[in-house]
Amino acid sequence: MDRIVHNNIVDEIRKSFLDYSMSVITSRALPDLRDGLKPVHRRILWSMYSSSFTPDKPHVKSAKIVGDVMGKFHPHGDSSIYEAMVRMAQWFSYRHMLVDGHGNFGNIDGDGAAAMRYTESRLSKISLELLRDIRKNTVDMLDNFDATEKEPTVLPSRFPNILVNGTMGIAVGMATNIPPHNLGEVIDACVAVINNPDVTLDELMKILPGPDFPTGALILGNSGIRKAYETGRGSITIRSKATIEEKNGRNYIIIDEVPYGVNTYDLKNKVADLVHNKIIEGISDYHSDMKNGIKITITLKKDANAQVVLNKLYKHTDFQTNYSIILLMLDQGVPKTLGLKDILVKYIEHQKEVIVRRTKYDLAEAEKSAHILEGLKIALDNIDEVIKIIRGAKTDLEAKDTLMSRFGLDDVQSQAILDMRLRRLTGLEREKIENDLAELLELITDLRDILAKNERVMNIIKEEILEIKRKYADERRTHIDMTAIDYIEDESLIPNEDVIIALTNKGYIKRTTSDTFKAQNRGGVGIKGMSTNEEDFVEQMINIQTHDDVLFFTNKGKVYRLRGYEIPEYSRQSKGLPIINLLQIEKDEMVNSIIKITRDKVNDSSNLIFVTKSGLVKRTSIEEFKNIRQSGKICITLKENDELIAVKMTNGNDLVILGSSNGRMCRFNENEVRIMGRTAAGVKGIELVDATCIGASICSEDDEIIIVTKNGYGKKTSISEYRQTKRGSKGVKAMSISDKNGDIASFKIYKPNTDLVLITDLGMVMRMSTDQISTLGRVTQGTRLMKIKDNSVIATVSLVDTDKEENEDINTEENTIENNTEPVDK
Amino acid sequence: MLKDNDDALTGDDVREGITMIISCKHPDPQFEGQTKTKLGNAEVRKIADDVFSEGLERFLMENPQEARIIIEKTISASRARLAAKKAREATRKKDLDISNFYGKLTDCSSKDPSECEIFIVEGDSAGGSAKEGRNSMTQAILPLRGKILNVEKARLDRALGNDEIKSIITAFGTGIGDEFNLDKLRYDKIIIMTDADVDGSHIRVLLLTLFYRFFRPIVETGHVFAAQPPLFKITHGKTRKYVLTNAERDDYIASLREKNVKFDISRMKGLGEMDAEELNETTMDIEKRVLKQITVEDARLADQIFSDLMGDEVELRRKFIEENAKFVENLDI
Repeated sequence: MDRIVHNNIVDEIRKSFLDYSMSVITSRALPDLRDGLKPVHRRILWSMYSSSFTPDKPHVKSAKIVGDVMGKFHPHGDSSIYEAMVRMAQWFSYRHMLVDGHGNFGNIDGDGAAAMRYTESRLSKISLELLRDIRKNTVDMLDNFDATEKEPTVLPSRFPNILVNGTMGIAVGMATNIPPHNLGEVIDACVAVINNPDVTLDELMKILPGPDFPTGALILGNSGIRKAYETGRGSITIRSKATIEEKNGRNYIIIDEVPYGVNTYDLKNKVADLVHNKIIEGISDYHSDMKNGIKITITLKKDANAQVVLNKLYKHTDFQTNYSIILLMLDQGVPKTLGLKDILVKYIEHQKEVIVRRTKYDLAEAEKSAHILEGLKIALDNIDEVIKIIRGAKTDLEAKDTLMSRFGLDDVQSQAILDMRLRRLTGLEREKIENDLAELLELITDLRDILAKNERVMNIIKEEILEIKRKYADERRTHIDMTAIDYIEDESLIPNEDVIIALTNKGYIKRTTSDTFKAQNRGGVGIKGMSTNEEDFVEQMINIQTHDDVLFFTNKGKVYRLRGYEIPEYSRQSKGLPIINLLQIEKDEMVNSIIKITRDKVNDSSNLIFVTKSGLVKRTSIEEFKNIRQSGKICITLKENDELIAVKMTNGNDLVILGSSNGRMCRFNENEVRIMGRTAAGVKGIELVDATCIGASICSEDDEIIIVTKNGYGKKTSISEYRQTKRGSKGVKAMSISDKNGDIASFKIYKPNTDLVLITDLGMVMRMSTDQISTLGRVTQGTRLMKIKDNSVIATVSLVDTDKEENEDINTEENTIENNTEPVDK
Repeated sequence: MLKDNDDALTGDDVREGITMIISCKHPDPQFEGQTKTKLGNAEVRKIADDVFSEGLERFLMENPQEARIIIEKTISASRARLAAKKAREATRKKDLDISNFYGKLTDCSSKDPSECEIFIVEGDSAGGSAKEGRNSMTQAILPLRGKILNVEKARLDRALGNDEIKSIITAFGTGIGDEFNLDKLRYDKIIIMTDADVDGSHIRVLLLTLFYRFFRPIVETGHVFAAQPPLFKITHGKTRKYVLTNAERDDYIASLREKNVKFDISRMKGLGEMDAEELNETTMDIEKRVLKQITVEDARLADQIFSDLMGDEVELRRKFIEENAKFVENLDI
């Protein structure tokens, strides 16, 4: 019956997983630092080399090569071998192709290579530099899988292939992505390291500024490159090379280099998709030509802005890509993420080993030859006796023995004498042997000298590598654009337009284009700006441009920012979107002031003045609000239970008026509040006795003020009746407060053509023209504005523009939409 | 939140688990049936619809966080629905007469689960010799193509849509998830037979992940085994000797050396290297083979190892590899 052994699933998984992952890491997916090759590539090159499929011979069928590789060295799938070989023969995959292919090896449009029975290949010339000296015992050789062949553990790699061609691979738990580089630059960097082992990264980057892709294109900026060269990881942005041409009044975008690894067929489909989905507009035709490299011609519609279309293409398609560099490779069989200099230093160490081993090999060979020549020389010097001995011997063994004992030769030498041809006896030949010997002895001295002197080894490395540079290096193809910004601001994709932002009392927001409100003739009925939910109304409308920033201040003392275009555009009738969907505000957080700032305006001397419920005021320069992240920032530090009630923009010498719930007004010059930082808490603005601050306004002497009480009473009073006091004073009495009219709910500065909206805590809404409110003296109770039912009080008071339906003079419309900065607060 | 190629959500997905109460005052209510279970006034439906849809839309707009939670719940309901549907489909096929079942499974002729075994074989190339070499009375063969899906990372509905996994589910007969029934298991032994190389190890890991996640009771009750194909082939004269371990190999070589026999030794890589007869003798024959039974000693630890090594988080995997790199035994070079 069965013999059964038991194994815990945990142990089984751990062991099997480890076997697999370690094998993938150390002998499948990652390249060796020294030759930049994964095992499959190394085996292909070695197999082709040992079968002499070299550039000086005709191409051979790819299937034959794949069969050889699979049968001799690489017992895995044929397709993975063929695919690896095909890539080595593609100009757009390898910076310097290692295989010289004949036939269809695929193209950048994503078409694959023809089947391996059709195509033919041989090693490329530069591959020979990877393999050079391999027969001189320069690298360790190991048995293949069935011990019938030897294969190299690494190639001599006489140029730094790891950087020149790069590689990409996904192992388990780690991946590598090494970009290709320019051969000449990498070699110069090697030389720089040899010349000065303490060379800095900055110096190296002057020689080797960055990757150089076979497909050309542009790299934007070099901070990502630097990071990668320093730490082994970094990200770069590659952008297609594009030009805009104008012909017959039409614009064309011509793209003749695309980022590395981009498939132009997918690119075309992606563009088609974007055009179809109207994400990119203005493209009327797309034509791609594969002849002599790539040429993609994008025809634009007549009214299209070529730069905007191009920017959109960069943003949405692989015409611009991010390439993340991961310099992960095997160093002595261990995966390591290395910086540029480490790689170069370790590569040079490898070269040193190659040269030392080659020299030792050459030395041994030379010594062997010299030894034989020495024997021959002895024989020639005594040729008569030698001939006699040979003639006298019965067997060659006997002749050998006698020669050895007579002249003190060894086995190898006497064998050589026996193998010598008679023609060697001519005078000229004899001289030649002597010369050869002298040369060899000189060579031996030289080789020994090399082995003894490290700097000679280094010089040889330099000379030989510079020779490779001279033979194979070409111009850099990828341009590194130090001036470009590597990301595309949304702005460059969006035209700067005049728009209107509307915010309702309940926090619904929307953007409409200014021309939604077409100018009507005088006397027209006007149009409604926004429809709202029943108990809601438009509280603020500001005119901005799409590229402007809008700041949103909330009762919790935080400020958020949106660009104009980030506020969703809706039709005139739509209700808009609750602002909570746009800002990361909490549920009980309410926006109570919005202020537009124009970002480009430098040295803006405007200030913002903040007022809290407990009567604190703070003044802060607007400059501090020019960089507010979307996640919000604190705009004033609030004490517990305090709330921010108003934010106003001031010009530096404005009058501020604060009101308290128990009927007092404090008016002072903003200069009395010194300018503080963004997160400061502020100073006392009005002294409150059992009351709260209920509002603030910027006013002038000629203004009239509208005061509304909780029980629905109100009045208009000239500001001049309220004498200017000091900041932090109790202020002056603004209204007679009694049980009848109740505490002050709010106050507003009167403006013509406005309506006052009153809302009770039960949601009753009343709207009236501000012109209907009676103007009364300072110490009066006011008149009834709204009938309030029992136990209900006025909760919200707003001043809004007179509705368009009622507005008689439509031509003043633009003026009635408040131009920003003076939002109406609650 | 919903990807383009995801299935659309249905009303049922949204309503799953929700009870709604509508308070409605009607001057002239008409009920259907004596028990008044349904209101007959048609106009109420429209009014309720209008009021509700407006209110709901507004709620969703004004409370994006809650809206997100509702959508997430709905998507998970939708995925559960699709997974359940696929699981039903997968198990339903087993109800068909098994001889009608076409596919890759080569079943055994015995219908007695206590004596049947199923070999899950890596690759079609080994499947053929396994078919020839088996005992057709009790041994069934299911060849798999390449690497199966990692179910730890894939979503349930995608896993269940995978052909290889479907054929495994169908072959086992137990069903999965809620419908899992260990009594319906059609084989006493489930034997994973993969090549003795590192890819074989990987496939074994993937299969064990599948079994542990979808058929855990089968693993826990000791029905899962790993076949032990020979590691070395030693040839001398016309004899071929297969051995399982390094120690066995060394012993055998020593005995050959004593007798002064010349021999060749090779490391076996794939099941396909053996012909049917050899495969049977070395790996499948009940009398001669060695099986490795996979047991679960610590379920919590097992659970942990699957989620660490096979799950989404690369870091955990990487850490494991770094910590254990020195313990690796078989490296493929």
